[in-house]
Amino acid sequence: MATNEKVDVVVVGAGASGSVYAAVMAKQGKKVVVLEQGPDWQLSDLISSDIWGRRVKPAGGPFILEGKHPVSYGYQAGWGVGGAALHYFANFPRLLPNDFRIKSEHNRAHDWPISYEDVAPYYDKVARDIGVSGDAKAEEIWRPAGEPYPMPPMKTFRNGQVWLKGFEAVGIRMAPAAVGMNSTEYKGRPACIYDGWCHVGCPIGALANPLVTYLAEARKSGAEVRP
Amino acid sequence: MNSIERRDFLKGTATGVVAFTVGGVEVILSAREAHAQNVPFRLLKANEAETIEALGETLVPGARAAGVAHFIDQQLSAPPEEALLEARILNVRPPYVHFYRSAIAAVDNASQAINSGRNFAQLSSSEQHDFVDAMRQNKVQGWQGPGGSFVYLLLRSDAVDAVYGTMEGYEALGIPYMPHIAPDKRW
Repeated sequence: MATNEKVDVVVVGAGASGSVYAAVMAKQGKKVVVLEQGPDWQLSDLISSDIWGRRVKPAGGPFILEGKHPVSYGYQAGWGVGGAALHYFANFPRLLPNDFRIKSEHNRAHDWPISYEDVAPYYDKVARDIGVSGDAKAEEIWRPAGEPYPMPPMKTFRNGQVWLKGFEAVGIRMAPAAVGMNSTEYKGRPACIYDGWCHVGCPIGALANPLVTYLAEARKSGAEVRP
Repeated sequence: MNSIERRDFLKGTATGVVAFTVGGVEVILSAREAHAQNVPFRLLKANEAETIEALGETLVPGARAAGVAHFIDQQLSAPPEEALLEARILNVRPPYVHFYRSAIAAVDNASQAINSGRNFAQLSSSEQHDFVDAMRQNKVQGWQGPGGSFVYLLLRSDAVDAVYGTMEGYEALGIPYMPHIAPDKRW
């Protein structure tokens, strides 16, 4: 039944983007309602299983895939509260300065009306907000100097060391990937224990999914999520 | 299903238990146990299950005993949004049983045409291997139905799920499972 209830903001979708809007607006005192078509997933729903993990992937009608080389989308997409960001590997690469100048430098597509310097403070803000682990100094081989990440990079295991050795042999410089995972405890969330279940969701909150970052902040500030 | 019932249902699936119907009573079994106890199928007909088991066994040895047909049958009988089949991820249009029936018909019709009226399950092991090898390359003569390579991909994934997708499957491969939240031991 329609109630004609008045709210300040209606956000459609409780995923990576919607949760940020909800948090920002709710913290400013707005009355926020977040609408979500799928289930109200909880951290306890994120079972460590390749089979059960499919529950947080899209369900229902198939995506319309067109073109000569359609790309299957189901693995990356999500549904329900948290959306695709509930089960991702949390890679947080940045655009490079020359990505904003494609027309000028390569005579392709268009230049952006903004530069890397314009967006860099927001990359840093998101890194502080959700917790990103990485080595900003090491990344200076391809981007200007900036704020350090709030946490040191994740561990490199044996397979990574093998790759590093190979790249070093052919003169390719590498830097640890910036990821939205806790290499140390951060904002009350525990450090990653490296058990490899990111792709079906991290129930301990070491991986920055919306349930433990922006959506948690939004709810704390009074936003209502209606799955 | 109203929202409260729906939440309860989702919590039920979250525990990892899987219900099969035996003698009119729902019991919790693994697919392997359901196969061993010859539990009746919910949706699949006997000949369809036979084809799935033969295909699964050809693709991933051990799939028949692991209950690949019971796994698929149980998942097909659930609402699409609760199904855990790879079909869901690979953009198959629900209800998924339509795809499986088309795929099984394509396999058996082509098999009959090529092999003197014999269904896939009736072929020798080497004939089954050759058929699947042609199927994965979309080279089965007279094939009519979903793409052979796609059927190969999907059924192989189901068979891998049944044989290796469980904690016992990881153990068989010598891979530490290291769960945050372990799936129910029966699954």
